[in-house]
Amino acid sequence: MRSPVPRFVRWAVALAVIVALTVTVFQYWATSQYGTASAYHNPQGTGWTQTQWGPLGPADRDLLVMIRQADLCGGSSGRQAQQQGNSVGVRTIAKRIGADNGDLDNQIRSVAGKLGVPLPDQPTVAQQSWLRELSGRSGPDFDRTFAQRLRVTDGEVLPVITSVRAGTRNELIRSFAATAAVLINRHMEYLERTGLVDYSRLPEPLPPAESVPPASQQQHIDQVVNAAAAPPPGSTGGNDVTALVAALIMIAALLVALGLLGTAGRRVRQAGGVRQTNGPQHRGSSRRPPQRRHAAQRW
Amino acid sequence: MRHHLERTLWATAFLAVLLAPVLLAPVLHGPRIRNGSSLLSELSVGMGLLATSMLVCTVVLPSRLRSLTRTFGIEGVLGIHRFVGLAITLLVGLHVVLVVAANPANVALFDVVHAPDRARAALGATVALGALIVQTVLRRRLRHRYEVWRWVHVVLAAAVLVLSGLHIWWLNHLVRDAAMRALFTVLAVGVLVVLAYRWVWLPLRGTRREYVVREIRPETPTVSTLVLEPRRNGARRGYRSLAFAPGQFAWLRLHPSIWAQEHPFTIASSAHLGLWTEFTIRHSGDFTRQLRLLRPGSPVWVDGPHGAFTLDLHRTTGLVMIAGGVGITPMMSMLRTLAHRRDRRPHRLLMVARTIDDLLFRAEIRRLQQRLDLTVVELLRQPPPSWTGASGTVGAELLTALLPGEFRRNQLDYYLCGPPALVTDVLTVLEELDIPQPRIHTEQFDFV
Repeated sequence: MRSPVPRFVRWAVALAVIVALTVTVFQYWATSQYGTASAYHNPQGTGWTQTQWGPLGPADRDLLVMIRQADLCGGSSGRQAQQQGNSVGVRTIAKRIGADNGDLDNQIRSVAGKLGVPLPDQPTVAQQSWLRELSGRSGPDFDRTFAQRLRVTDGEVLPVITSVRAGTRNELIRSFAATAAVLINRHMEYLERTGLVDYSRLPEPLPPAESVPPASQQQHIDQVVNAAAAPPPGSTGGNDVTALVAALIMIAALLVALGLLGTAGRRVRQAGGVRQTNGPQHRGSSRRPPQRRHAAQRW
Repeated sequence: MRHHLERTLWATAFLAVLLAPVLLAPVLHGPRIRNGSSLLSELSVGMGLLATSMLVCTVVLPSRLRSLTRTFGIEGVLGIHRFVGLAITLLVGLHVVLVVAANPANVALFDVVHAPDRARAALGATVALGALIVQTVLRRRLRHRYEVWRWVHVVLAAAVLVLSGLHIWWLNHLVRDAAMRALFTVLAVGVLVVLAYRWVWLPLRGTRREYVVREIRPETPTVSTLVLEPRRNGARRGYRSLAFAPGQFAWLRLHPSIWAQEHPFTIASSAHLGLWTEFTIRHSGDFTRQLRLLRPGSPVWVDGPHGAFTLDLHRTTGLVMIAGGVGITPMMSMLRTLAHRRDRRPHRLLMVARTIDDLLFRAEIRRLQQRLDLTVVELLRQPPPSWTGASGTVGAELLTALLPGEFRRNQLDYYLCGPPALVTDVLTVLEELDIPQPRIHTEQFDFV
């Protein structure tokens, strides 16, 4: 029995799905295997590349991404606070934080450029959310929100910086992490000096054994934590393999679903032979089925 | 030849739209993969891109492009539209699952109050898409008038399109790349041009496609033939009649407005009748009853011709036409046209009806038999006691008797038009007789 969907359309859709998957997986595999232009592949580890400053791991890259996003967030909120800040103190520290962020931005661009790590252009979803929240505030309320939110953000970033600083194999990252930790510490002090930080509303510190930030607090923290705990060069990483298998299973399910959709028309038509009144409307219908008023008529 | 060229061009365009973003994005987007992005995240982007490409295709399909309906037939066009629409839903679902799987913190994007605009747009588009699918799947259970159903469908589709576009724009992700931005711009402009043609140009052009009723000729108490001719006045002097291929159809509306009801009707007259165009219509719906009440000189706006159910697109040694009830109308157009062309090939016509009164154009068909090599079989499903012709259902025995031997019958083209059950039964019999599928033509369709 014929299907109303031409065969080439079903093939084209299936082909497009397969091409999309193949290209994406290949591209991901190629980039994760060969990494940056200046590095060579370390066959003993997934996501690890060798650079002239030492091995570069996923945690190192994620650190750059996370600091960049925190920097974008701090820069944006700092500029806002310089203009909308209610108190002179807040406007002053916003200016200092803004200047520091400018320096940090230059450094991070330089480091990322040397290591071939592309940087995001936007803060995380959570950061963008509180930046919007900040835009809606004014007066003392603005000052309190600015100090509290930026302090929370810095507090989340700092442990990750120190964690990577403590374990990184890359000299450039180690040096940058040390600098970044100083700047972030300084920002926290600036913010605390305003007297507007409510310490009782800060995330509670975790016991030493669990001293990593909760995954839900920031979009990329979990990635960074996972990456920080990732196996060093020489061990094998299973996350990508699991993801690949999961993706392939989903894709297979998608293709099966598409195949079923392609045959759905035929099944409906076969059923129509038995249930005449449920068939499609037709210009040649010699009597009017009950559903006819729902359909365009072509008689 | 032209038909094959058009088919090839449309197929190529379809594949190009589907594959271009999918192929281009990873190449341009590749460096970002090194940005600690996970495979699942990249796959989610790929699925989203594919869904976007398909969205473009599925918007273009039902936009009444005559070349498209002529190439694939209205049944094929709407079949592809539904198939691609369902594929989009699957891909969007997968896209959402992958976004969350890549980073569980992305669940926060479902919080409409605090989510960024791009996530709100995506949520809106997904909800509208879900509603669209539910509305389509439950179309027979939803007791809406067709016009209500159609406008809800259009509004939901517009919401999906606009919100998807905003999601991509506000995401500011792929569009940051100049080449991808250019590609998205080309796709967006293409969609806007097609939509402008469908929703602005066609209704406005209605003033140029204006016809007037010349006469309404009763055929039976419930069936009549609407004869139209182009409106001729000073401004439109010399305007040509509708050029169509026998078997094609056109949409008729009584007002030149996008809000006006319009319905498709098969053209019943010969393609060589001159200025007149005839539509034979059974008056069993609200709109068709309005048509019967028209007076000579009343204006009617015609959008057409459309459709691939025509003998002019296929080379054949003869036609086998199987018509049920008012499904005879495209066959009449074909037979009248063949008579005008002095066609000498052998043709066969099987007319199926409930009663003798439902057999239309019997006298004219007898006259056409004198001008054509035409074998006619009439089959009644509820024959009177005095009926000596065929009765019951269309079976293999009847068709075998009507058709020539196995070799020659495979060289014929088969045109089926009638109630769905009849078309399904005949398709089954033709399958039993091993008639090549490309030789069988139907245009049974459902607009909803």
